[in-house]
Amino acid sequence: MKTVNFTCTMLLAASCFVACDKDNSSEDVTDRAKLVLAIDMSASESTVGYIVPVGESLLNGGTASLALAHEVYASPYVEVYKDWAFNIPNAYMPPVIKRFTRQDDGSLMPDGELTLSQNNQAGAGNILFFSDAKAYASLMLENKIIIFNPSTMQKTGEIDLAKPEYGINGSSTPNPLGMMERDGKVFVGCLGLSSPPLSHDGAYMIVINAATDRPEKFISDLRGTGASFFGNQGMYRDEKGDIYVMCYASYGYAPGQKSGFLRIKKGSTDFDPDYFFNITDRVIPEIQGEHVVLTNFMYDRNGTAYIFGQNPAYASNPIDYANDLPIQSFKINLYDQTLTLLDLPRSNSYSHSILRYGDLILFGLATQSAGAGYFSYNPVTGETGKTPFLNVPGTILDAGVFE
Amino acid sequence: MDKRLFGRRFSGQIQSRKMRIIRCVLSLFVMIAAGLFPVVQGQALSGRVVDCSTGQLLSGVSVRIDGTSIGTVTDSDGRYSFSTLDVGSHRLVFSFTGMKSEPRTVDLYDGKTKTLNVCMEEDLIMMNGVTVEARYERKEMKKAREQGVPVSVIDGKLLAGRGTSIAEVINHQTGVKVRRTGGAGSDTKINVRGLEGNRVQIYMDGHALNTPDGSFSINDLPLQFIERIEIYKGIVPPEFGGDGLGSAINVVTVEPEGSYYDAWYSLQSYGVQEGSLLYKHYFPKAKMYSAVMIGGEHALNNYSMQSPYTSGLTVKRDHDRFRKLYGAVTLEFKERYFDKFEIENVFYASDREVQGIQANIRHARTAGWLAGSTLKLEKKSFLTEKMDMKLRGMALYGVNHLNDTSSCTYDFYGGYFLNTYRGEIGSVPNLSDDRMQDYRYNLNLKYRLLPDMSINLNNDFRFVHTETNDTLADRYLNTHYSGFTTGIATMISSFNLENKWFDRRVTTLLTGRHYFYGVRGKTVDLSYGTNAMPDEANERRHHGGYSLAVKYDFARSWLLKLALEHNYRLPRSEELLGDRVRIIPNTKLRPEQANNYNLGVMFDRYYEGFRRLQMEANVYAMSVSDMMMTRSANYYMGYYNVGKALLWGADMEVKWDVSREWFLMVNATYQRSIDKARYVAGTQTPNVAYDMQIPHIPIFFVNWSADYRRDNLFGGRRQYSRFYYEGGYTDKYYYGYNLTVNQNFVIPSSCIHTVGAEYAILDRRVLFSIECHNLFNSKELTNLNYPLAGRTVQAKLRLTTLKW
Repeated sequence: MKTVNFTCTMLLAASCFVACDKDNSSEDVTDRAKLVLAIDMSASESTVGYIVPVGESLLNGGTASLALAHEVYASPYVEVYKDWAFNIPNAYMPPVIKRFTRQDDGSLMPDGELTLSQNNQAGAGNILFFSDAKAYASLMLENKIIIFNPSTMQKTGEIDLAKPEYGINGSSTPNPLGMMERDGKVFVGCLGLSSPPLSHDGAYMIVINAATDRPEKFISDLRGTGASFFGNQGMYRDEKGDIYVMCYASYGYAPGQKSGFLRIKKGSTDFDPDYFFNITDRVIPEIQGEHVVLTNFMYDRNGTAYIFGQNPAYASNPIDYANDLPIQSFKINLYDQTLTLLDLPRSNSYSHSILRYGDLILFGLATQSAGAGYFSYNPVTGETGKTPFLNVPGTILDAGVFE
Repeated sequence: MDKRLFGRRFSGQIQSRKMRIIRCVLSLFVMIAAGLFPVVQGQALSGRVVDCSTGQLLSGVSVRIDGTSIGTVTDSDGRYSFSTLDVGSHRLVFSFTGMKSEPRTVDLYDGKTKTLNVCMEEDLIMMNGVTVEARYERKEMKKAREQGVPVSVIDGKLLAGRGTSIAEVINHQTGVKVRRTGGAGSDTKINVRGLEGNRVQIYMDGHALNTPDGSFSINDLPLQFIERIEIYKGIVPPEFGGDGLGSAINVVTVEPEGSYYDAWYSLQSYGVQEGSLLYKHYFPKAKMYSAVMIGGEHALNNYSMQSPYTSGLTVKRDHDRFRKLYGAVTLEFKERYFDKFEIENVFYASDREVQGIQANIRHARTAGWLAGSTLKLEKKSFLTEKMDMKLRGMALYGVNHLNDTSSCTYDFYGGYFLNTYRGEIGSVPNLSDDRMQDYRYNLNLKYRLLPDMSINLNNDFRFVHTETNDTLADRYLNTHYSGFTTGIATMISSFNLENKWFDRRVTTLLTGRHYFYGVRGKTVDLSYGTNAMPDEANERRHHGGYSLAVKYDFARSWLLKLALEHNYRLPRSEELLGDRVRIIPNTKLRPEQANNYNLGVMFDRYYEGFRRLQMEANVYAMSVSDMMMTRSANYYMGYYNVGKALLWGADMEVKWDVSREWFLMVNATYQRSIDKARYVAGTQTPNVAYDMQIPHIPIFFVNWSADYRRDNLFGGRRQYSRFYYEGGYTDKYYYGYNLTVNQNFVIPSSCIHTVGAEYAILDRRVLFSIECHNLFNSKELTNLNYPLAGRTVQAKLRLTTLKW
């Protein structure tokens, strides 16, 4: 009888554990946010963006809950600095940066806001943090960089780049976007837009002296087109101090433009004439379309990076943005210029987020049958997750990881 | 003691407890009803009144004892009765709008109850509301209301003096919400039972009103020429021939007989002026009419609003001017081979500036014009005695311009900035000169098989040919897209069988429909860049639909409505081809489809003293799939078939004609629009918003009104006065799904009050009206981030010989 009672007790206890485990993996956010996501949810006549805190306990097959998320305008971006998450609106919304501070209860508390410009068409781009007291925010369409204090959320200055010497073909509209600081110099990637998403041919950058906040140099390279990208995903510095710049080449819509990577070697403020990793012309035997269009980039370590590539073979003609799944995940080596297809499911055109979490590389995907969210790749073992490491309801546009 | 009464009591003792409860409840109801609405008693003279041509019972017919003040009206069963008439001979006059008056003499003798049934014939001369008395419902109004489908009918007579827009009028109807983005000329979406935009078809006299470029809208129709507005909710009558997901608005215009003129001018807050002139002449010998009309509107829309994007910023709208000019020349022949032969030449031109709300748009504007001809042929007994024919044709030619070339962008503080790409509302400079040709016809044949059975064949065809021209955009993009042409053809054929059953108490309308559409030509996908090849479109699709509507007169004054429908909404040209500014083309779009169900009950009873009680309640469910929704497409938007929804709800309306002068109304609507897409588009990933309320659609709203109308209120004669008050409450709704506790985007609840007065002299030949909308200047939004004007006042002067 005792055995029966014990067995029943254990079964009951086990069922409780199962139930608890299920609860933890689905809805409730109770631990401090480790990740913060910027996602979109579309309805019949509206699209709303969300800034979503995600606790560490969910990062093993759980589902990100929107219960504590904050509604923001559609297509948001997010930057994480220390315990702050900064929401950057998309370039067509008023350039107002909102600051959230992560709380112990798993939520994000809005506690600051900065209007970068009274011009609601200024086009907020990226943020570059120098310290608790200084940061740059690029205004892509107003062609300025705003200097502000992220602690007080006060504007402290601005750098005007709307000058003929910085514009493509003397246009005064360089469209500054991505930023990277190295050795006191800030390298500002310029899209040089002709008509979004189309850029003028060539990759252009402005070099700014971080001490004086003055532009010093304008550099260009016609091998690639469109330097840097939204969400600070367009420029990375490797362990040697070399900067790799992603060229998105108008998403491949402009024939003749090349996507890939340019390099600015440590100690130099010019593009490396001996380096261009041409993705557009790379034949990839493993894939049906043989060529891909570069859409995202995340540098990891030791020359290894990860990209999303759009495979034309999986896109309708014309492309069906809502239903096609043309995005594939690749591992690249920037040093020997190799490219390897990863065994991850294909995703829709809205996939934009790749990040490192612990030992894993996470790819934000919306797949046909395996779900939507972050799928993992272990660079050590080469294993890829077949189900989401984190299920995410909605389209992941950007993400940041709290230290 | 009356033996019969005793017998009833006795039998009542052996009834079951349940029956006693029912009887008690019924007795209570009867007592309350009797207390509230005392019904005429007595049987000295009674009878029924029917329409001679259709046998339909006529309610609201005035029955008067000639030369006395004694009179009554028929109830919804066409019955009338007098309880205590004097013995002797009486001359009764039966009169009803649109019917010939029927005088009858009846002799009454002591102790006798007399029955007098009357059949009334249509009066073609009186058909058009020429001798209307407001308290009687016209035959067409009654016929429109008493269908198996749920429909609200607005009497045009009550609009004729008002200077407001149609949209404002229908905004107070059951199940309808109008959503605007600004003042006159702004985008207006009509939401019927949760469906809006292109899902609600707009008709004028049964003709689809929409133009491919969207330049002509329902608000362009002047109110004083409206005979009635029919708002169909759930099922669209087959004779309209168009597509749609089950909701439609049909504006029926007046067709008065004889010569007349009409002139009016309206002045409204924020620099809105509008007016028109019309003269119609009748040539009796030739039985011919000719008419000419011209009208226009000039609106500054310069109201101030709080910026929804920048806290504390007040923006005065100063780039929102809207101008339109329209006119028509008509020639109409009557009683030739065709009963009606009408040719009308029409033109319409508009010009509007684009008002920025988020950004300060200074230069962008649109302009366009349309011109064309319409043909209407109508003949009863066409080819055979039993067939009626109506044919309507239309040919339109239009040009549309978008002028958006600014090299700068502006803020609201006086600053300006270099524009990366030229143009303020798109990312390509536009100086377009797009051409459009629109050809349509609608043929309707009605054949009376039996007195109670008729069949109806309807064939509706439309071909729209568009040519895009924008050499500036071409030069900017280094492309050669100008001159691309696209043709879209749609044909909707329907066959329906209408039958009356069970002593005409049940009417069924069974309809089968075939939908065809094809698109062919070249389109430009804006998201493709320089030297991109244009998309070659060549799509054809066929679909079948059906509907059944049942009307059942199940008790005196009561009507039951039952309707179900499977229908399609074909893609519009702008959805297939894009707008070349923000919307990219998607020629693979499939039609939206819906299964609609409606159950309704209607009560309509006349009481002594011109009192009348009308009630209608409906419950409905609509399952919509393949919904075309906009989705982000690389800096642009595109329409895709990604939505699935279940719309359900209930609405009710009560109208109480308190007396000959006072009229009260209240209606309420509760509607839910539930997301039924199980998966994220293109994947098997569960949709987290499944079973949630679809955002940005109103859920609950209530309207009420009080109306006082009286002739010669201030003494004298040939005068008419009207005072009205309308109120509307709309509960708040959200812009996003209910997924988070931090829902920041909300369309707040609003309670809007409108008051107005009309005063007319010389038998309403001269009318002055004044109306104040949003009396208390409440904050009003119907779309997120689009503040409306607040309190507006309009005054109108009308001179007319048109009887209304």
